[in-house]
Amino acid sequence: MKTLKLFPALLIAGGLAFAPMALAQNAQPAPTAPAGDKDRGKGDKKAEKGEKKDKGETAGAMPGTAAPAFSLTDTDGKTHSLADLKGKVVVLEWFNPECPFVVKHHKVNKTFNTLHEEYNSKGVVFMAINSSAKGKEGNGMDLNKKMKGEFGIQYPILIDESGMVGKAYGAKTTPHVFIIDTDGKIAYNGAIDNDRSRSKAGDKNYAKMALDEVLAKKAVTTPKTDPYGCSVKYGS
Amino acid sequence: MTASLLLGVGTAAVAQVPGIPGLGGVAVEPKRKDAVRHSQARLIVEHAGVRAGGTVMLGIHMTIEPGWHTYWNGRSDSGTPLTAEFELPAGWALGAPDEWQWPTPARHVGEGDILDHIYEEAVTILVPLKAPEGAKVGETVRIKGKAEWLVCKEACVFEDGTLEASVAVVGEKDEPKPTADAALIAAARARVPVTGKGENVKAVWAGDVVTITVDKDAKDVGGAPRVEFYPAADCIGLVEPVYRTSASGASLRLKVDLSDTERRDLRGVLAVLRPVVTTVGETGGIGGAVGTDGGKASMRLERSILLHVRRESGVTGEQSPAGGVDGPKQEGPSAGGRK
Repeated sequence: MKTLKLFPALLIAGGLAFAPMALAQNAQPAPTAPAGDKDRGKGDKKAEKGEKKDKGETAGAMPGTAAPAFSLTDTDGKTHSLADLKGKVVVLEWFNPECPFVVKHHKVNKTFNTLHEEYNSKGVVFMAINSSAKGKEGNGMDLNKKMKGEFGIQYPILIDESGMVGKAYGAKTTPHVFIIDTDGKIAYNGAIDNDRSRSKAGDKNYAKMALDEVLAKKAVTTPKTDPYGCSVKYGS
Repeated sequence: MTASLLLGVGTAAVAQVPGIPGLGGVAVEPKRKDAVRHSQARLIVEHAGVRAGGTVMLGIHMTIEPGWHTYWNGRSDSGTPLTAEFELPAGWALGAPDEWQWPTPARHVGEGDILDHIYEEAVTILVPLKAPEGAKVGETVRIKGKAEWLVCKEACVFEDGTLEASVAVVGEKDEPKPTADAALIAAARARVPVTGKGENVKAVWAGDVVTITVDKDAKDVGGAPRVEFYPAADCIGLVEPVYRTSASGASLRLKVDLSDTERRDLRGVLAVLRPVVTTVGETGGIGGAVGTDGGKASMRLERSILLHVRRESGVTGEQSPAGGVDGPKQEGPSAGGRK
């Protein structure tokens, strides 16, 4: 496994690791090395798969925190910046046209298109973001442009080949949905719905539930769920 | 001995892809990327017969192309576990999905810190089948099912297969005979986590940190252990699990997400791994090495323990005197995938 060193190791005294999660969640990658590291792996140089001592992990865009800013180009070459959408409710959908779970919600079921049709008219902005790295599944301007047409997606697909935006949000799967409220804060982070099967859409659409509450200026009842799908095809 | 056994041996699944003899067969240029199968599943039985009112163990045995993997039924960042549906003759009952026994998986961290719990090469999921009290000796019943699962390398595809097996009802005095597949079931059973009782495991829940220590005073025979925790689907949320669920030595400090409103307790599997001993003829470990990394298997599973640590009521940051390790029957990771 490649272990690209993204951030320098930051060894922080034990105390901080016990601080409430919210402290470590401020959007932009402000990596904090988990203090757990100093308690384990003493003298172990074997680097068992999965152990990356020198790299911090951010919790991602957790509900209630500021949505990480980004500026990305879509499949038509147009640039979209979150900063330009101040005051709007925004739905971000992590996307990979070749992932079977994305196909399930864009082709077998029209989960996202249906959601878009209903909420676009209420002023909600939708954007898909593809964090597949160069050479990995789902990567490529032409492929994404073609699949946008094939799936009939009416909103832009933003290309994030470096994976930086995906990692700032903590996007794990395709699909993985983030909803940003009018204050620019994360209102929802998680799965599109509650059915992990191959072809069925769930009977609970978490994104829809959250959108209704956000638009009604109510607190979101379920602001966080475990997303499901294919892993985001990051390059490092 | 009148018992007879007819096995479906998953031939139907293979037959869906004519021209491909099975796993590892060299395939012709596929028309579509999903035209070639990367895994197979077949239904196996442990004993050729079952007494009326008795139970026989079935197994969904998967073989997986090298480099590819399928998913455990506990928590993973991505993927989804196998699901199956069965048709049964009247009176016969299959264990509910939460009674299925899933062998301990391997930990897999992908690019972008995506933490999954997976099976490579082969796995057998154990499914008990109960015969009705009134089953007639000499009767042979056919169990039919369909399974569906996700198999991934870098990319993922769904695959499915037909599951079929037959079991004969034997008399009270007949000793059910092991089948040729009994060894696969035994190997799987050896990898199913045991309950925590008597396992020398201590868990202390203090604030948002759960410290788990295993074999505290034991001597390290055969190299320093590595302990890993694999959270069940209904385990309380974990903070930075990539960095905190695997450690060399005898203890883990897990950080839990106290804001998790859906799930309260820590539930999952604690695995104790040891370095592979390379002495000629040395086998040891349960069913081979785990945590393979591009073919370099370095650790083997010594044992795995079902863990259930109850969350303190009113978390104060003080030590939990009870520790609260227990393992009520084969509960643990709930099976059958989440809906």
